[in-house]
Formats: sequence, structure tokens, C-alpha cells
Amino acid sequence: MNVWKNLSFDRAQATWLAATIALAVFLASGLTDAATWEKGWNDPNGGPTAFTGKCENKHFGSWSFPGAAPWGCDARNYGESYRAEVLWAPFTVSMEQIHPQQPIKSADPVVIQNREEHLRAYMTQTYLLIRQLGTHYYKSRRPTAGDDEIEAWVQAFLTVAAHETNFSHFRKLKEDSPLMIVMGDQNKSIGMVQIFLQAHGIKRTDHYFDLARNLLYGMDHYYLGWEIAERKGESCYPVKNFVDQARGAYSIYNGGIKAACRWKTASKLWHEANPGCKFGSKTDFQPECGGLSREKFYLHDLNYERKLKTRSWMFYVDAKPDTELSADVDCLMRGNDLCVISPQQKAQVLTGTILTYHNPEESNRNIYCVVGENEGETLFCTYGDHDVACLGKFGPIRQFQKVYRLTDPDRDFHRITYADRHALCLGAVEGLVPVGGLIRTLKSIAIRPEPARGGRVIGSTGTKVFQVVDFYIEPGLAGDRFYKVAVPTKLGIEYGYFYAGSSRTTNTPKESHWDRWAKSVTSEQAAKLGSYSPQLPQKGEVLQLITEASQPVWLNTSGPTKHNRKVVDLQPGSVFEVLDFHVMGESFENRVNLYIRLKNGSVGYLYVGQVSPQYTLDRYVKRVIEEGASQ
Amino acid sequence: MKNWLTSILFMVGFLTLFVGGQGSLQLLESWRLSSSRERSHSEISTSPHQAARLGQPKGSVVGGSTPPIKTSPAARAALVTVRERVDELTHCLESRDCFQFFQQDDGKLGYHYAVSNEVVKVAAEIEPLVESGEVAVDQELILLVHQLLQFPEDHVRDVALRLVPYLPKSPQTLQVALGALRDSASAPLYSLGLKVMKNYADNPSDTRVFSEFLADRLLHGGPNISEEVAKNLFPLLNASNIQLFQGVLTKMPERSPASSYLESGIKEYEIITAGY
Repeated sequence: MNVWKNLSFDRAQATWLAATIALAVFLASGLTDAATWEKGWNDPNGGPTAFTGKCENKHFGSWSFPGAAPWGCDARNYGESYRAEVLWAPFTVSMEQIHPQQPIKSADPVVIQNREEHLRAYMTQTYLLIRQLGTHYYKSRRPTAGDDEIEAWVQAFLTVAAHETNFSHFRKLKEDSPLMIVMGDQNKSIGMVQIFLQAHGIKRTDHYFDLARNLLYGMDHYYLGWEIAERKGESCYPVKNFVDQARGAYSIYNGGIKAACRWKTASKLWHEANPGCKFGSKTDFQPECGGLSREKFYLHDLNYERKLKTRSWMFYVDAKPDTELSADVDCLMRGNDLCVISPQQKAQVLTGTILTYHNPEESNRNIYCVVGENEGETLFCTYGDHDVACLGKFGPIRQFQKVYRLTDPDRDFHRITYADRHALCLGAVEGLVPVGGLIRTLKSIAIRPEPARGGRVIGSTGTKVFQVVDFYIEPGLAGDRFYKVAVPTKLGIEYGYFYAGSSRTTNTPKESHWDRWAKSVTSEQAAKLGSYSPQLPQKGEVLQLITEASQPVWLNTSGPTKHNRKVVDLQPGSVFEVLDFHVMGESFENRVNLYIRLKNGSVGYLYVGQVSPQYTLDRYVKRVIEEGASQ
Repeated sequence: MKNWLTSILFMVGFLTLFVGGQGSLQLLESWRLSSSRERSHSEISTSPHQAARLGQPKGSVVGGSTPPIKTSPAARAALVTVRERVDELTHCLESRDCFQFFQQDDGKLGYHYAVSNEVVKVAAEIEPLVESGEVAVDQELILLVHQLLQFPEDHVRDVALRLVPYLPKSPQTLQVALGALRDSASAPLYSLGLKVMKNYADNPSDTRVFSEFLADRLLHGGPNISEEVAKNLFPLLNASNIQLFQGVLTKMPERSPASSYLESGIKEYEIITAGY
């Protein structure tokens, strides 16, 4: 107190000063911190990549019941929630049924019955999903694994789901309220196995949003730890049994590779740091038992071990041998979330929704269709879901959130299936620039490896001309479009997508949204605007075939079919003139056929590779620069 | 009354200082780091002139020109700073004792990523030095890149993999680069790794090593990695490994995205080599 008296200003002034300085520093550091998280790592152009999610309509939930762990946040910020809402309905917890505000031993028998029935159905399906996904996953990585090893892996991963979120993923507060997803670690981790959003592999929502993807990506990471635990190298490895392997893998999963041996010493160190406390008793949750100490993270390892032993989730699992999983796990492993819908579900409203079915004899991809607007009895279809938005030209798609599986569409409909995505999409979306077309960006737009509006950036467009090598229309009412173009980088030419607006229009001034991002230009206009990097051969250009084998030149673009005729076999080294090009392809492929004129004057179509998803043209042909050769 | 008010204000001030302490230290740390970065950058910016004055060739393996015979003193100092800082940060990762990286729940991955983020920033200073030709590609640099490739975090490995094309091709570097991928579940890292491996495709022995690794990833790498490898494999296909990957395709689950991509790449290769 004497010290205060000796100062030249009084205590109130000093306190105000201290508080003001501290507050300013605190706020400033908070801003700095936020700015750091917003910036992407390894991003040569410094583009924004959000690693910390936002949590809208934050809902606490409850740790007492499976499927309801804190925090629930609006799912629409993280993925296609409208789609997940339908497809993942059996794996969505209804908070109305759980009554989290009521105590576990509620006096109301209706509450108890509702809760138990709902949680039993949810947990049984979730448990079976993790079991079957885990088994498939482990067999794919270790085909020779025995049953006991697979069972150990499954139990270890079930415990990860139990410990991270108590089996929580999607939830709804009410029947008609928006879908929510579980977030943790101050919104840095997402989903049932808490995928850390800063992890390097997290670039697209399909690495973490739907439940199967979240679990599979979590398995990828848990498996890394599982493998490390078997190797020599760390003091605590190799492990002696599967329980230790599960614990070791979890320490790495939770704390990173440098925490690999945490499981071994967790109990000793935690008890040393908290004298008088015993793990597993009520005291370990109290502040005086390390609740606030730096050693509290050992509780992750101790609790994981306890849950692995007790398997308390089985209380809610209906483990009768005839209980079946509603989802097709083989199909889910192939990355198709539509497999979650059971074949028993019948389509109720077909018109204006997307329909799908699979016919292995026709295509190795699912086929997607809409009912034609005018005909009513005609289905218009495409192979794969890549261009499903383009089906809108045959009948407006009122909602993308309902996708119905058809079992035998040819019985009820006349079906027209487009094998060529370019024929399907051109004209379906206003202002869409075809592959090979030239486009001028009107502002600097981030170029990303995938057609998305977030994630890693590999370049920026500036206001330049590009030749389009792929287009993508995002499924949804907005008609958002992306174009893939060549980007020069230090590692050579890379290809990436930039966003180019939606199909929305504004009234003042009257213009389309896409018109403000990028505009189609002719080759003459492009020449005036400056140079661009051509990715497809140009009309009039002279090329040389450089493949190892001779290549057939056909009368039309259909390739070797009975309706086509071979004009000539073109020998490697042959030179020809390009008269035109045609881009064709099913689903995601953009294959290029050149209409060419040979030296002897004969004309025909020559296949010269694809421009997307892989660029192979440069392995088929090269430009002829010599003046003599071009004649 | 006045004493009450004074006490309350004192407590508010004290608490704000206490709670804000962690952030304040982070702020101070970030100032310290940014000033050290600025210093390094200023050193880097003067170096090209020095190199030109000394008549040293600029450029790199990637750029196609000859790497410098000797590292300039300024660049050497910058490189030493980078290595020392990487060592310090690696120690931070192991000890979990560096206050400036503490997160709110410091037992979890937050600390691990905060340290790794700093390593990325530090390691990113190497490439401009190598690219501008100020740093000679000597054993010291090679060891530093190997050290970064073995760092247990994918963003750091990403920076390190981008340095591999500057190094002379060697079986050791290939093994370390493949090791970085083996210990990762990151699709972008695999995409980058496959681009880097293209430099090794002209050596039959190296091709066999990376092809066997990739074949294993396609079959047993899990769905995410398998898909990423299949998507980026085409440039690495050649006469010595095509049979291997044709065999892999027959063993992959049908109708998976990975098998579609692999089939598409193999088909393209077959057309190029055997005709449509």
C-alpha cells in the first residue's frame, strides 16, 4: 500500500491507466491473432483461407446424451446442408426427442421413452456405420489382417468417436429448423471425430462434412498413429498389444506426433501434478484436481483408455444380429453419399427434383436425371453427378436438396441420356463459355485447385484472357460457375478454377451476375487485349503427331464404332493442319478431337487426348514452327 | 465509497492484465518475429546485387541455370538463422514448453499447429534464396531440406517438397521425400509429391522405387490418398511401370473415383503408345 502512496498519481488514476493499457494490448493481440488465423499457410499469393469456422445459432446441447455434444452450429456454413438433411436423416439427432433440459433420470416417463427410443435408433445406426466403415477401411489398408486385429481397430476408432464428441455429428433442434453440425476447439475442429480444420488435407468440404467422409478422413489420421505405434523409434514403441496401440494412436491423433508417448506416462504425471486426486473419481473434474492446470490434457489419454475399456455407448446400441445398417457401406467407401438412402425409400415428389439410379451394365457411374418439363414422361439424364446442374434446361430443378434413387426408371419413363457433357451443358446455363473458348476476367479472382470459393489458392487471374479447359456448374439454385484455366507456377503449368459469377440478374443496371466477373471474347478481341496461353490447338495451326504408335483418323468424331469409317492411319511424325476442334466427354472428361487436313488433302477427325481432368495433349501433338514443314 | 471504487477498478485492471497477458506476449512475440523477418528480407534483397557483382551465376535447377558454387556470406547468415530457428521450434514441439504457442486447450493439436505454422514461415525464407542463386546447393542445404521433409507436419513438408527440385537427384532425397508422403494423409501433399517425382522418372531405379510406393498407396493408402494418386499419376506413367499400374487397376475396387481416374490415365497412355 505504501508503494501506491509514494507514487505521484493516486490509485484510481493508476488503476485506470493499467486497465486501459492492458485492455488495449489485449484487444490488439486478439485482432492480431484473428488476422493470423484468417491467413492461409503455404499460400504463395497470400489469399485468404479460413481455418477457424464460424458458429451461427450456437447450441450447447449436452454431454450427457450421445449425439448432442457441445457445440451445435448451423451446418450450412460448412457444406451442402440441404443435401445432408435428406441423405443423413437417420444419422441426425432430434433435440426435441432428447429433451436435454430434462435430467437423465427424468420423472416424466414420456420423456424417458422418447429419449431412449430415439437415441437407440440413432446410436444403433451410427454404431453399425462406424463398425462397417472401419472394417472396410482396415481391410483395404491391411488385406491380410486377422479378425482380432480388425476388431481391435474398430473398437479403437469407436472410442475415438465416443471421446471426441460422444458420437455427435448432425442435429436438429426442431423438425423444421436448420441442420446443425458439431464444432469443437473454438470452432477449429468439425464433426464426429473432430477433424482439425488446419490440417493440410482439408481443402474441400467432402473431406469432413458428411458423416462418412468425416469418419474416413479421421481414420486416415488415426491410422497414421496406429502405424507409428507399431514401429520402433519412440521410447514407448513398438507397443505390446492392441490396447496400447489404440492408446498410442490416440495420443498422436489428439496431440500430434510429438505427443506419441503421452499415453504411457499420462496417469503418473497427472496424479503427480494433482496430489490427493484420483482419476476416475468425481474429484478429477474439480478445479483443484487439475481442471485448470497445464497437465489437464493428460485427461484426454486417461479418459480415452477408460472409454476403450468400458464401451459405455453399448447401452444405447441395439446389437441384435439381425439389425441392419440402412446405408450401403461398399458404395459409401466409393465416395457416393447417395448410398445413405435405403432402396426402400420411395420417391414422393419427382418433378423438379433430381433422380438417380445405377446400372452397372450401362455405366460405372450413377446416372442422374430430371423429369422433362413438357413431356412429363421423359427422363433427361447424364452420367455421374458432376453436371447435374445442367439438367435444369429440361425442367427447372426446384430443389437440389432432395435426391431420389430410382430402381427401374426405364419401366416408367422414356429416357434420354446424354453421354457428352458439353452437348448437355452448353445452352443450359446462360453465358457459359465452352471448353476451348476464350474468356476475359474483369477483376482479380483467386485461382484454386478445386472448383470452390474457399481453400488453397494457386494464383490470381488479374484482368486477362484465358482459354477455358473445363467448366463446372455448382449444383444449386444460384447457378454458380467456375472455369478451369492454366496457371504458370514455379513447378510448371498448373491448372486451377476461378469463380465466375452466378446466373442471378440485377435490375439496376440490368445485368447478369456472371457478367460482372468474366466475359467471353473472340480470338480477334483476345489478340487486341494481349497475349494468353493457348491450351488447345488453334484453327489453321500446323501440328505434328508425336505419339509412339500410329493414330487413326476417322470420318466423324464417334471413334471406332460401326457407324464410323477410318480415313487413314496417321504415322508418328506426320504433319497436318487443324481446321477445327471438338471437345467431348462423359462426366468430368474433356476429350479433344481435331478436325484436320492432311498433306494429301484428305480430312477427318483425330483424337489428341484430354485437357481435363488430366492434360495429355502435349503427349499427342506438338506445334510445327519450321516454315517448310507447315507447307 | 471512494476506496470501494478504487479497489474494484484495481481488480478490473489486474484481471485484464492477467487475462490479456497471454495475448500480449503473443503480440510481443509476433513483433519480435516480424522484425527478425524484416531483417532477413533486407539481407535477401541485397544479395542478388552482391551475387551479380561477384559474377556468380544466378538461377537454380528449376530455373535451368547452374547453381552458384558458393553461398554469399549474407545468404549463409540467413540460412544459419533459418536452421537455428527450425531447431529451436523443433525443440518447442518436443518440450511443449514455448509459451507463445499455447492455445486455449493446449493439450490438443492447437499447439502442434501453432509451432508448425512458425516453422513454415521460417522455412519459406529458403526458397527465394535458392531460387535467386544466392545459396549454393551444398550438403548443408540438402540436410536442411531433409530435416524439413522429416518434420511431422504437412504444411512444413509442403514447403520442403517445393525445395526438392532444386537439389541434385539422389536416392536418399527420393527416399526422404517418399517418407514424407508415407507419414501423411494429406491429398495436396501427395499432389505436390507426384509433381516432384516427375524429375526422377528418367532413372529406371528411381522409377521403380516411386512406382512401387505409389502402387501401394493406390491399393492400400485409404480412399482419399488413393484418389489423389490416381488423379495425378498420368505424367509418371512410362514403359517401365505401366504394367505395374495396369495390374493395380485390376485389384482396385470397381466404380471408385480412384479406379476411374487410374483407368482414364492408363487408357490415355495406351492410346499414345499403341494407337486409338
